[in-house]
Parts: sequence; C-alpha cells; structure tokens
Amino acid sequence: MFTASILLINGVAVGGLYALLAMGLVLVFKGSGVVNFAHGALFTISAYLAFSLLKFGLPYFLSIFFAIILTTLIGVIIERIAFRPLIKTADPLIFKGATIACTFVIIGLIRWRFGGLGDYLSLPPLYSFEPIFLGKFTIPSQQLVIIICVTLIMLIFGAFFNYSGIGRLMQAVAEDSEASKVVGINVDRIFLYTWGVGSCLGAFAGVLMAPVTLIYPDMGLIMLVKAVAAAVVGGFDRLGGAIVGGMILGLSEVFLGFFLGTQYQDVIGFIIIIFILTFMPRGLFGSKNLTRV
Amino acid sequence: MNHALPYSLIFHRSIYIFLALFAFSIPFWANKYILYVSTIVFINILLAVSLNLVMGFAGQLSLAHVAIYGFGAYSTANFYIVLKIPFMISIFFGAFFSAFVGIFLGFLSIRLKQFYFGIATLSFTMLSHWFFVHGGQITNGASGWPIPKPDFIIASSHNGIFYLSLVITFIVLWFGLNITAGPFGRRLGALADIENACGNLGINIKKLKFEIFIISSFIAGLAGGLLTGVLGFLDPETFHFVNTIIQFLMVVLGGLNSIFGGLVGAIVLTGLWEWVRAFEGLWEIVLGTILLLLMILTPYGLYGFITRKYPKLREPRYALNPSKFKSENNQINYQKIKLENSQNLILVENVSKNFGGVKAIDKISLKIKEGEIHGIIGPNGSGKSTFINILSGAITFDDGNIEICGKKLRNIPSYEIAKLGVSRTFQNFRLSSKLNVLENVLLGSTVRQKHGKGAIIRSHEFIKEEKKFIEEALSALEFVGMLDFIYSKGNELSGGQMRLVEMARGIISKPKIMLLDEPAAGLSIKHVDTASKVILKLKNELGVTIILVEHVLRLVMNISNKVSVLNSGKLIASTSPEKVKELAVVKEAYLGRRKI
Repeated sequence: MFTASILLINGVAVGGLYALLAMGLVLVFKGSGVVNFAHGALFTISAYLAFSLLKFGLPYFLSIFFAIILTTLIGVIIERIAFRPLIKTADPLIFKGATIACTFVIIGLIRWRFGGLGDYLSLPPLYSFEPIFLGKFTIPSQQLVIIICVTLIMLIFGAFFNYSGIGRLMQAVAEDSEASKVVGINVDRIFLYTWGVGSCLGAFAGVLMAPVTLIYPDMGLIMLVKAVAAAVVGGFDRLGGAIVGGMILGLSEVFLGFFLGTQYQDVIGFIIIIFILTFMPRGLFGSKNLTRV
Repeated sequence: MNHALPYSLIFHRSIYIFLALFAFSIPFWANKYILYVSTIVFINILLAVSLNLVMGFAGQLSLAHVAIYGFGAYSTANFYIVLKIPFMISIFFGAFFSAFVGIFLGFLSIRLKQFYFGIATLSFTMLSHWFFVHGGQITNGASGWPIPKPDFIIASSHNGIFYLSLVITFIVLWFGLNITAGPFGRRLGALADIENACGNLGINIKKLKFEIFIISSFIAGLAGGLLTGVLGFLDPETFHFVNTIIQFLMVVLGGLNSIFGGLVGAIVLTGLWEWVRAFEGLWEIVLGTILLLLMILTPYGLYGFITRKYPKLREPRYALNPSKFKSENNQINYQKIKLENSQNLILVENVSKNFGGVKAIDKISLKIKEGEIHGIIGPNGSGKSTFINILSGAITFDDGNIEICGKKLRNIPSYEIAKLGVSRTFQNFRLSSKLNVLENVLLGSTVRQKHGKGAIIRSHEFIKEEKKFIEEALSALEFVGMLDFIYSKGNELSGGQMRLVEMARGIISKPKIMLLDEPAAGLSIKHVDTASKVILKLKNELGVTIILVEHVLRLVMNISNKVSVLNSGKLIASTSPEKVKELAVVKEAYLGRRKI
C-alpha cells in the first residue's frame, strides 16, 4: 500500500507537469497554428533563470516570479522573430524549422552562461515538510506541492480563458482568425498574447520540475517530446485532452516503470502512444473533421 | 537517350554531372579530413533526399528517418561482421532490411494524418533508439560497436568508401530525378495536397504510401550502411531523436519538394556543422542564429528561393518539354454516340444513405443513358452532393444497388471506379498547389497509365506514353481555353479557372461518365456561359455522358436532356427539362406549398 500510494502521487505529479507543458503547446497551436518546438527550451530556461536569480540573492518567491515573467518575455520575442516574419509563407514545416533554430540559440546561451558551473545544478524545493500519513497512504511532500500548484494553475488559466476578455478573444482567434479580423479584433496582438500565455505555462512547468530533478541544459528536449506526445494522445486541439494525455503518460510511466524496471520507464510512454494512435487515429478526444469531398 | 528533355531537367542533370566529376577528383587533392567530410556530405545527401521524398513530395511528416537510418547501419554491421558477408553486399542487405521497416511506417501513415503520424513516428524513433542502446548482442549496446574498416581491392579503405558513396549517391539522385519527373512525382503531389481527391483520380493511396515509404527507407538504409563503413564505430547516439532535427533542417533549408533541394540542404548544413565547430562553446548560438536568419530570408528554402525567381529552373513533374509540341494536330478522337439507340450506362436502384439519423438519400432509383446530359437539381440539403459522392465512390451507400457500365459498385474503392471511366469535378476545388496547371491536368492520365514503371529507366514505351499524354493535356487545356496558364501553380488561379482546369483533367482520363458537382457555383454570368459551352462540347464532340449537379437553373434547363429533382433525399421527378418546369411537386419543393 505504501508503494502504491507513492507511485500514484508520483505519477499524478509527473503527469501534471506533462499536462502543463502540453497545455502550453496546444494553446499556441490552437491560437496560431504552429507547433512551438522552442517550448522545451522555454521550460529549461525558466528553471535556469530561477536558479540564477536565487543565487543573485532574491527571495525564493520573487526569483520564481521573475523567472516566469522573463520566460514569458522570451516566448513573446520568439513570436516576434520566428513566427511573425514567416506568417505569409504559411508552410507549417518552416515554422517548425524556425522554432527549432530558436531552441539552438537558447540552449546554446544556457550552455555558454552556465556551462562552467557543472553539468547538473539543483534548485532548492519550493516548500518542504515531512511526508503526510493518511491511514495507510503516504504522501511525499514535494510531489504534493507540484500537484497543488498544477491544479491551481490550471484552474486559474481555465478561468482566464472562459471569463476574461482577452481569454475570450484568444478563443475567437483560435476558432477563426480571418473572421476575427473582420469583426475588428487585433489578431496580431492576440497572437502575441497567445504565445505569451503558452510560454508562461511552460515556465511554470520548468520552475515546478526543477526542485524534483536536477537542472541541465538538455532537460527540455525529452520533456518537449513527452509533452507533444501527451498533447497528441489527448487529441492535440483540446486543452482538456492535454491534461488527460499527460496523466495517462505520467501514471503509466511511473507504474509500469516500477513493475517492469526503470530501464523501460522512458519507452513505455511511446509504446502506449503508438498503441493508442493505431486504434484511435485522432487521439482520445480529437475532433473528427469530417473530410468534405 | 535522345528524347527531348525539359530545359530544367537538362539543367539539373548537367549540375549533377558537373558535381560528380568534381567529387571524383577530391581524393586526388584533398587531405583526410576533407575526404571524410565529403563522404559525410554524400551520406547526408542520401538522408535528405530520402526524407524529402516522404516529407516534401508526399507531404507526410515523418520523424522516423533517423531510426530507419539506424536500422540500416546496424543491420549492415550484422551482415558484415556477424554473418561475414562482403561489405558491398551487406550495405544492400541492410537497405533491404530498412525498406522492410519502412513498410511499418507505411502502415502507420495509412492510419494516421499530419502530426498524429509525426508523433507516432517520433515514438518509433524513441523506441528504436532504446533498442539500439539495450539491444544486447544485436547492437552491442550503449558502449558502441567498433567495426573494422572494409577493404577494397582496388583502392584504400578511405578512398574506397568515398567512391562507393559517390556512386550510390549519384545513382540515387539520378533515380530520384527520374521517378519524380513523371507520373510518380505527380501522384505524390496529389497525395500531399489533395489526398481526398486521389481516389477519384484513379490513385490507390495505400499502394502509393507503401511505395514511397519503401523507396525512401531503402535510401535511408543505404546511408546507414555507408556510415558503418565511414566511421568504423557505431554509437547509438548517432541515431538519437536530435539527429532527426538535423535531417529535418537539411530538407527545410534546402527546399521541400525537390531532389535538388535535398542536395543543396545537405551540403550547406554539413558545411555549417563543420564550420561552427571552430566556435567551440558558442557553436549552438552561431548555428541557431544562422539557421534562423536563413529561414527568415529564404522561407521557401534555398532552392525554393531560386526557383521563385527563375521558375524555369524548377524540377518538372513531367518527362518531356511541352513547348516542343503543338496541340492542334492532336485532337482527341472519340466515337460519337447517337442518343436514340443508346444503352443505360448508370443504373441506380433503391439506393439509401443515412448520416446518423438524417436520411440524406432515401430509396432513389434512376437510369441514366449513354450520351445524355443528366441534370440533378433540388434545394440545399436535398442530397445532390451525397448522390454524386456515392456515384464516384467517395462515400459508401447503405442499401440498394448501383451499376455503372454493368459493374456493381458495392465495395469497390473509388480508384477502381475511376478506372471504369468515371471522372468528376469538385464543389470545392481540388488542384494540387505543389503542381503547375499542366501537371495537374496530367494527373488525369493516371487511370490510363500502362508504362508508369518505365519512368525509372526512361524506357522507350514510357517516353512515348508521356508524349501522348502531354499532347492530350495541351489539347484538353486548349479545349477549355486555359492553354496560356500551364506554368501557373494550381492555387494561383481564380475559381472559374480552377473549374476549367479540373474539367481538362477529367477530359484526359478519357471518361465515359463525367460528374460535375456545381460547375457554375461562384462563377460570373459570363463564365457560366463558358462553362455551359464546355459542357456541351464535352457531350457533342467527345461523347461523354454527363451528370450535372447545379443550382443555376438556367444552365441546367438549357443544356440537359433530362432533369431529376431531389427533395429531402427523395427523387420527386425525373423527366425532360420542359416538363420539370411545369410540375407542381417541383414548384412546391422550391417555393413551398400554397395555402388554400
């Protein structure tokens, strides 16, 4: 029972982080039609920014806050230089190429600035306390913090999309950018917000993840792959799908990894993805675009 | 080969020959490092061409090519070291093994679309990498696998592997140019952009996807095999997902949808890669900045950048230069059919189709005679388009029986129906933006192609057939009055022009039956007249039976021999146009019932 509870909490925490990253990806994809391959780099840089601000002497919460703000700004800059100038060509492959080039630059900058400090850095935990015992269940503290934070962030963003003016404008542009332009919405501005909010979600995932694992320049790549996978399993154009996809991936990785051995942990997710996609070609919740002839 | 080649094909071939001659001289003057980099360039060219075939030509976002590359490398190593087969033969065995893995990708691409396919292939890459690391004796695991350099009888190992790569690369480039400058390239263009029209053009999508993945995987496998010979050491990290990104960048940077683009991308990126090493710790920043700048400055790739300025240099998707032909002398000859003693060509009996709870088609029975223009009218949502989609095989029907030319339609895929002689135009235009107008029209000849495989070696029969098709395409374009636009891209035309090009595409498939789905929708009055002239010409001069679904009543009533009226999925009248105008049920369907 002890292991089961730890595995469950662990799985939900990991799944929540995947879901958070996946939501950022899905958001940018829905809003502007681009799969942002620099999302993993944003995730990484937010962790590094938090680390260096903390070293600089800022209080913990302030350094996290500024790390997130700065990462959001970087996301907005990427929108300006790798998305806006290419909008007219409209070939999705070019956008992917450009965001990949941005990833190179960001990871390169990180390696250049932090390379001398050793390969792995550690960020102290957000808030640590003794594990909680609930009858037979044990809840490790750090994972609990992650779960609570992820839930809060998702609730806040959900409320933001559905009830705030900008959130609704973003939904409108995601639905049909041409029609939005016609009714007088400043679509360019909304694209910018979309990229900003998407990057912000990635940044949150970065600072939450950092205390659990160590920080290293390539940490974003595998997370990006898993976030994309989670998004696709959930059906890529659904924000709710991203959450379910992340949970499936996180829980199955942790549980199957425990029973089969950790060497299988990284591939289990991918076996499940191929399996799900083969039988449900549009993910679990993907909208069925009826092909019109 | 003294067949006339298009200007740009000659241009591309001369560049290839020049490059091959230049490459041939490298071992005579270069040092070991340059020789090594050049060999890597060849391997990267193979990879770029292989990925471009799938991603640029066929529009399938495959992220599994680095895995295929790895399977080629490891299987070559196994054949070479474990089974002790000579290296030259091991490479080809390895490539065949990769092609076998490619069948699996083909299977995935039939099930999955766009990035769902991308993610499935990415997962496959991750799984393969895991297998390369944990493969035990098959892959020698994470520590890598030292491989003795192959011996060549006539040359040293370095030079031998260099020349082997050179020969294989240029054979692949030549082969790639040959198959893409022909019907196969046109079919890929259709697959990439108008997949849901492929069936009606007589293209078997499943077969095409398997073909392209097998060919592409074979090439990637060759690259992997060569790599084992060059490096003398196999490291699973070479086949990590990160290298997919490098391959992807080569293709995007060089230019999608062209063999030459892959070549350019591979050379530029390999060069950059070697050059940025000089920056040591800063190499990622320099590389990323240069790539970003290149992409912003040349968003269509380096090759696309050139061909946009000089469209004549674009690789064509036909094997002969059309400017050598004149269209006048090559009118298509059809037998003229007299209406009086003609047969029933299409027989529809009690056909029904439900969408969920909606009865789109409700027990329709209809006979359409050979050589007539059969108009189908009805209010919106009456089932006209559903009916035409059922006839062309785009959707299946639930009950009843349909016979076309005496053949029952049940369970026949749309590409087989197309081969029966059924051609169609679409309500929403279906022209590939990857092909120009002439190539789009040539797509119509797919159903009649007999010597398509001859394109690989440009056999005499193939050239003859291609010549015939180009002549017919030109005269069909003249027939609809679009001869001046043959070099425009499919998406650069106006709506009416697209419709006319679609008709020309239908004509060169030599159809018995042509299904026109709202040919006048969105056309000006002047263009409606053009359309009606073309339709009459189709019937009178080419003897085609026409089913015309249309809202513009003036057009239908003027040219049809018989008009059927649908309402709420039911056939409420089927008679001559004059009588239809008088029928009370028809007025009721359109105008509503008068209250008495």
